Amino acid sequence: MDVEGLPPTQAVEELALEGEAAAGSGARGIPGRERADRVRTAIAYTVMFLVAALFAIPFLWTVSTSFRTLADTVAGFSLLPRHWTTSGYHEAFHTFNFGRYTLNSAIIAGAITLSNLVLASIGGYAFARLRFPGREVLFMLVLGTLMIPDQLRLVPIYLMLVNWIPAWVGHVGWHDASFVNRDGVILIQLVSATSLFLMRQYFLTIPRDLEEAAKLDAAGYFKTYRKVMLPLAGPALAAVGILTFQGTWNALFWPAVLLQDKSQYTIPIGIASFHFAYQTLWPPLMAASVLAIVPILLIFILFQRYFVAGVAAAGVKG
Amino acid sequence: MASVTYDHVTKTFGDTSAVKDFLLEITDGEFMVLVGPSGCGKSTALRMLAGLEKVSDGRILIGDRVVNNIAPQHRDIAMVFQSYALYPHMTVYDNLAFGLRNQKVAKSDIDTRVRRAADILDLGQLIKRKPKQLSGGQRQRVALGRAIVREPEAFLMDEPLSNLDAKLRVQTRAEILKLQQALGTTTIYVTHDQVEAMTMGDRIAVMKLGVLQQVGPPEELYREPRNLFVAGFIGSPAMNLVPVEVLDGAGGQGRVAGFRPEHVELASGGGNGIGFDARVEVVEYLGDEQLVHLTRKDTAIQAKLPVEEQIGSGQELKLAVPRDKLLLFDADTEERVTV
Ligand SMILES: Nc1ncnc2c1ncn2[C@@H]1O[C@H](COP(=O)(O)OP(=O)(O)OP(=O)(O)O)[C@@H](O)[C@H]1O
Ligand SMILES: [Mg+2]
Repeated sequence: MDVEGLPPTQAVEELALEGEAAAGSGARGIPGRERADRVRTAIAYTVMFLVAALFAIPFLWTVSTSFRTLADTVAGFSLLPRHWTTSGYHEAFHTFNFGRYTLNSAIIAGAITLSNLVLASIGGYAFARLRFPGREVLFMLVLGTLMIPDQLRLVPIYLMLVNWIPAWVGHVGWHDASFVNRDGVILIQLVSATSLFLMRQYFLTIPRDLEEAAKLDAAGYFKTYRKVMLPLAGPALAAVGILTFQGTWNALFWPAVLLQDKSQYTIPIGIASFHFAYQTLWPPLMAASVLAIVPILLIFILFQRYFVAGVAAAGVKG
Repeated sequence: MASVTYDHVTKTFGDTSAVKDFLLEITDGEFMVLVGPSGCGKSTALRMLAGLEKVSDGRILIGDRVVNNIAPQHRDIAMVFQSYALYPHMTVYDNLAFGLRNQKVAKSDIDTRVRRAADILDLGQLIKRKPKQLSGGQRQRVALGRAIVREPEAFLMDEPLSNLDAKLRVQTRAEILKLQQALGTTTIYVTHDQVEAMTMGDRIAVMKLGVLQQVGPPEELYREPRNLFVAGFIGSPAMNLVPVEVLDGAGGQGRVAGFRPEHVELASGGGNGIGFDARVEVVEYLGDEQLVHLTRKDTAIQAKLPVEEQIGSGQELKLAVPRDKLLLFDADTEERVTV
């Protein structure tokens, strides 16, 4: 099969199909094997079921709790609510300003996702295809940042945001700028090493001939990127988009460190504030958690196909 | 349209030289084929002309303009890639129009040129399709179309037929020739297939290990190969190349005698050729002829003989090669010697 001539997405899909075909045709027609196969399938399904249950039960428990009354949550174990009520949801919105938190989360996650898509695709293309001195070293440095835990960077980053950057922009005449709160959270996550890596790996799989053809077709670097490479990078963009959005939407660490202004709290920070010193208000907390999952779920269902292809392709040539 | 000149061009990658002191003049409107075994530097030579590789030494001229330092898009050439390199996300129309749009050609102009090219190549029905909705042959035509719409000074083609099946290849070969003759555009065509080279080229340049061996029209390469390499490379089945000692009366010492299978005759009586006996090993039936594999003095020889003759393995045959069809080469220098 001439995978080379196909667009990468399609090539990946076709490879995947071939893999399935090969796996499926294994034992057919050999009688002794059939039972052994069935046993193996049964074991595999059991294991998968248990693993799935491990992930699903806490989630179902969350959903169930969100429909309980507060009294119900402390009245001993029951799988389903004893009294169904949506008051948890009401409370989440009215008492705890869940709408505001959602908006804040959306602004932060949206901005970071967008900037990751733009910057990682440009940067990934450069790392994959442009020749410039120090490219490999630079890329190693980028990957190296993955090995430094956020906790270790916390103090330096905080100092930079509070002292250095305001001082620098002060020099160019932008006084009284503040880079904590939302701006800080966005600024330090404009592009991640993971996004860059995913994009680079994907661009490496796109045949070089295409760029050369574009070059002869009088397209410069940027036009080649925008008109030829980017449209072919759909799966990688989907992967970067989903991973980034999901990661920042759920993130607790940087928002907890940097968000000082209560009006800028994101959902996870907001949810954390449902904990009171003497009592936790489980129903509204769980209601907020359920609502917070919805956008992620939607995005994943919509783009899952691309996502898998993108991660696969980045892995294939890794 | 323009001539193309390689003026002592060299290309080195690190410490390997892919093309060495390449000297070739391609006249305006000519169909020039670069042929040679894999890795001999054909693609590199072509890519330097396209501007996709830098020239290490020497000059390349298109017309009378030195293009060494001119960007690919300003060289006024169009290239057809072996992989076709069609943009997978664009329709056939956009594939053809992309280059013109980038050159800021007027919209109405683009439309006429794209439609004309589509017409010539019979792509009219397919204009709205994406490459993956096309057959191999159709993709190949789109690749040609993308070259045509540019209306360039020269076409550069790097093994454009190697992804097609045998039958389609023969058919497309003829179509490319017809197209080139109709447009009269200078064409440099790379292939490793000597049959393709022989059937298509006005002239053929044979390369080996980065060095140009011989340039000439097909008949000349066939009749008067300059050295052993060209003699063995051009022609199918390949020329018999045997030490002169195998052929009594061929003359000389330290020589290699060359003669083509199709020039071997059954010796019926005297004749003025060089006669020899040989034992039949295998006979291949080719339809109109038969290819007979023989041995003489432990040396393999092939002969193309008329099918009318009943020939079986193990048989001893009396054969002859006409004197004027026999070539002699120096065994050391591998150059042809004239007697
Ligand atoms: N980018 C490169 N870096 C290093 N060496 C290269 C590069 N491109 C080509 N070469 C070498 O130069 C030589 C000529 O390669 P080229 O691609 O021109 O061969 P070719 O005649 O087109 O062969 P084929 O028929 O297989 O396409 C080869 O030895 C190849 O390994
Ligand atoms: Mg080649």
